[in-house]
Amino acid sequence: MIDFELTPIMKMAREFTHTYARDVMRPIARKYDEEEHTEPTEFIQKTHEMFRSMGFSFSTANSSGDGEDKSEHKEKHDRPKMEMNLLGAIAIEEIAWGCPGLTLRIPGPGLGGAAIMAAGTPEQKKRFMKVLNGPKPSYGAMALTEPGFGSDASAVSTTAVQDGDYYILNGTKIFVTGGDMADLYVVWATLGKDLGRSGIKAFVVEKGTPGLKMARLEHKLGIRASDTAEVVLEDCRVHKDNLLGGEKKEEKGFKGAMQTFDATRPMVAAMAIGIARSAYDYVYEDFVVKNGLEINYGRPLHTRGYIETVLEDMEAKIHAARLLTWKAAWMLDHSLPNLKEASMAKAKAGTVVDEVTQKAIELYGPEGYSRRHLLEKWMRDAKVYDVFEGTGQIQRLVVARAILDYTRKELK
Amino acid sequence: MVSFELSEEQTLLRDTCRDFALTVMRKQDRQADESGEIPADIVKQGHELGLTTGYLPEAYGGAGSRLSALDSVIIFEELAYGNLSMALNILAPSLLNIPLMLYGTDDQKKKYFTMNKPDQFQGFTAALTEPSVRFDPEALKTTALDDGDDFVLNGEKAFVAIADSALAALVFAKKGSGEGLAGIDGFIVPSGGFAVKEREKNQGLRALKQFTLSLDGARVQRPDVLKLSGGFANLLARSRTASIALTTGVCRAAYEYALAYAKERNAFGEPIASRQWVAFTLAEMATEIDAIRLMAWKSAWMLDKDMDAYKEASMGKRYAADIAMFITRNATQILGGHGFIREHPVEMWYRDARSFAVSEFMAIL
Ligand SMILES: Cc1cc2nc3c(=O)[nH]c(=O)nc-3n(C[C@H](O)[C@H](O)[C@H](O)COP(=O)(O)OP(=O)(O)OC[C@H]3O[C@@H](n4cnc5c(N)ncnc54)[C@H](O)[C@@H]3O)c2cc1C
Ligand SMILES: Cc1cc2nc3c(=O)[nH]c(=O)nc-3n(C[C@H](O)[C@H](O)[C@H](O)COP(=O)(O)OP(=O)(O)OC[C@H]3O[C@@H](n4cnc5c(N)ncnc54)[C@H](O)[C@@H]3O)c2cc1C
Repeated sequence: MIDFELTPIMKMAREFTHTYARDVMRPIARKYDEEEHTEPTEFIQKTHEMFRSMGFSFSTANSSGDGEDKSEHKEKHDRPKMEMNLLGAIAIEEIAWGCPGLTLRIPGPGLGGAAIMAAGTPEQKKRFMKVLNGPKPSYGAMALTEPGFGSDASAVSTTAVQDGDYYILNGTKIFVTGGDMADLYVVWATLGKDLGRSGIKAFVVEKGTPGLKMARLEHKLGIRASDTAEVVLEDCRVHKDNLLGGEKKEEKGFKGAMQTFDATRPMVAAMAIGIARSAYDYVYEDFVVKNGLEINYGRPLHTRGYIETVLEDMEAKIHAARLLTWKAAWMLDHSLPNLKEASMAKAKAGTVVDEVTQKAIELYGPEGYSRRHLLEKWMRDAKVYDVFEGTGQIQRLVVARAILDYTRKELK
Repeated sequence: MVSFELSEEQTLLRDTCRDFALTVMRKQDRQADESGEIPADIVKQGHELGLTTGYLPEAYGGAGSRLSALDSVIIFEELAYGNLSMALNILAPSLLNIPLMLYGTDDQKKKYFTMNKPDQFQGFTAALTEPSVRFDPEALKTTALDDGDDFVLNGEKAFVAIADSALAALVFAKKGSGEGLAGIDGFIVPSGGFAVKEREKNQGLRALKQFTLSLDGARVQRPDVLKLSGGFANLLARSRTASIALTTGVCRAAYEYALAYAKERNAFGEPIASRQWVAFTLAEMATEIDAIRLMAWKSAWMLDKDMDAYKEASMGKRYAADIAMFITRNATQILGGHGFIREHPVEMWYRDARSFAVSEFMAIL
């Protein structure tokens, strides 16, 4: 039965995270934007304790707790106890509203955890999630991208060579979110180029493993509070127990990695919506709340002013993106295949966040361009939401293949 | 608890309407567009689905099923997916029935509901729009003067669907000094009480008969005044929610056609669908269709919960109308030169879709 009523827990989580975003994140958002590469130590500790006390991690909704996969319900009609993906999308929108850079700095399973949940064996999930949801702030990073590729994940060139019970990894990974502080890295490597996609495997490399080195930090347009690192693997020995999904061929490998995105794309979309909303709310506050502009919904165009219609358009776009995102997250919660919907949400939110943040500055005039306000920061932060976790073009490719029933070869 | 799942009943309803859309409406859509006539048989069959009378109370000859905005948006999408003109014709009785369900007196319900016949289409209509550039529902020019026992209506109305055959029209006018939408009431004028002027000639919606009306001192007795008591905005919320659903249907029709064409049509040795501009545009269409459908559902859900959906519906209608242009324009484009030729229906959907941004009150749920 179609329903848009949030559960009391969702409403509570939304309110709680919003308050936190407003009172804790907003006041320090500018500082960590200006002081790139400075660790927000106090924020990390505080946020970690708070979320831990709630028993929930916001980085990836379905990888909290003990590693029990809450989204895995074999039976279609077996209702999950908690809709962790939808709850996550709702909460992370608020958190990102506070500051998208700091959001990515919040400890927890992160993208690495999501990959472990998507591709790991039950034992691996248990073992690694214990670390990622431990008493100390910890972080799971995902190291897929390399200097030579980003979108084309099948082009992995980092090598994994078996040596007894170990694999020896060699290669360079770039753009690793949280690569400076991670406790675990999920590193994608190939057992041999000739094996194609099936030769691509994910290895959990623990912090401190000899041969694993953080080489440098990127200087970025936005989300500067979140560090993005280059990570080098030099004869890095990883035990075979850390090969995600185990050694057996038929276990999830590359496909598992790709399934990570079914869960993370709605979350990334939700963050993008949070940013778009922050910009919208900011101009709304000035024009509508402080200066009495009326948004006359539904009134004929000739009676309306430019700014109110632009505000309405922004709101409508945010609304559209949010509905798509909720649907994608909800489908995952109910074990419905959501590949297409997750990409739809991500594609739409990635477009909307750029449009809305750009427009917000325009409405604000010269003042909007000033670093006195956060509007210019949000526009810079926004850009990457149409890039990471698959660019907007890759999302369209995924959707297009699904609707056309085309293979990778038929639609490149 | 959030859910995006149709109930079994709704799935059945959707499938029935979709089947009707494809096997009946689509068979004669082009001919109807060209001739300006909707075959009576189609209207009759559509009527017999019970979509506009099913919710009438049993006491008045209806089936007494619940009036659900959610059910309605599901139905409306499918009917518009068939053909927008036909959908609006079939749904016309609701233009009076639903306002009466919501705001009518028992006497009014008895008098007008019993005119509905499950096996025979008896048209009602509503008249809101007036023939003026910069039309504004908050500044209606049609007046209703209190003249003791009666109200006397004067004014012109435009784009009134099936006015030539409707048994009665619900004419919206202001009777007093009420502000904005809140001052609008409905006046039920039987056929004969208004003069049906020339038929509208529009860019699209060509099969649907619409007329200008003139009310030249039409007398409406007090029992036939539908006191909305500020409810006009709610009626607009219902018609705008309907509009989002109808938009979704037309968009889906155009999208599906373009998608199938793109897989069939070769250029440079490959199906045009294998080109990213074509494929990505189709992907964006699919995404936006999902988005506007969800907007319609959300708004309808609010209506069913008795929440104020005016903003949601108005914002959604405006957004969806833009999307309708994006989708039907690009569907036409994907057909290349053939999109411009009336052998294919996409140009018709493009013309039909232009109506959404400029029309008010084309259907009500
Ligand atoms: C701040 C930040 C954080 C990141 N965090 C992580 C992380 O934690 N882990 C990780 O592994 N990666 C991470 N990334 C990498 C990110 O996922 C990639 O940048 C992204 O996938 C795009 O890859 P690329 O940069 O190599 O661009 P390319 O793949 O080189 O793409 C360049 C352009 O070509 C387009 N393009 C590519 N292929 C096609 C095609 N088939 N059709 C049409 N257009 C196409 C793209 O859309 C894009 O516009 C991060 C990146 C940034 C900027
Ligand atoms: C009113 C009218 C008058 C005309 N007059 C003349 C005339 O006088 N003389 C004459 O010779 N022709 C005439 N034409 C034909 C016109 O030039 C063609 O319709 C036009 O070139 C497009 O070709 P097509 O219709 O076969 O579309 P297609 O080539 O089938 O294209 C279909 C769609 O695919 C897209 N597409 C095709 N290839 C690619 C690609 N590689 N990458 C991305 N997208 C692609 C196109 O942009 C289009 O959107 C006329 C057409 C019309 C409608």
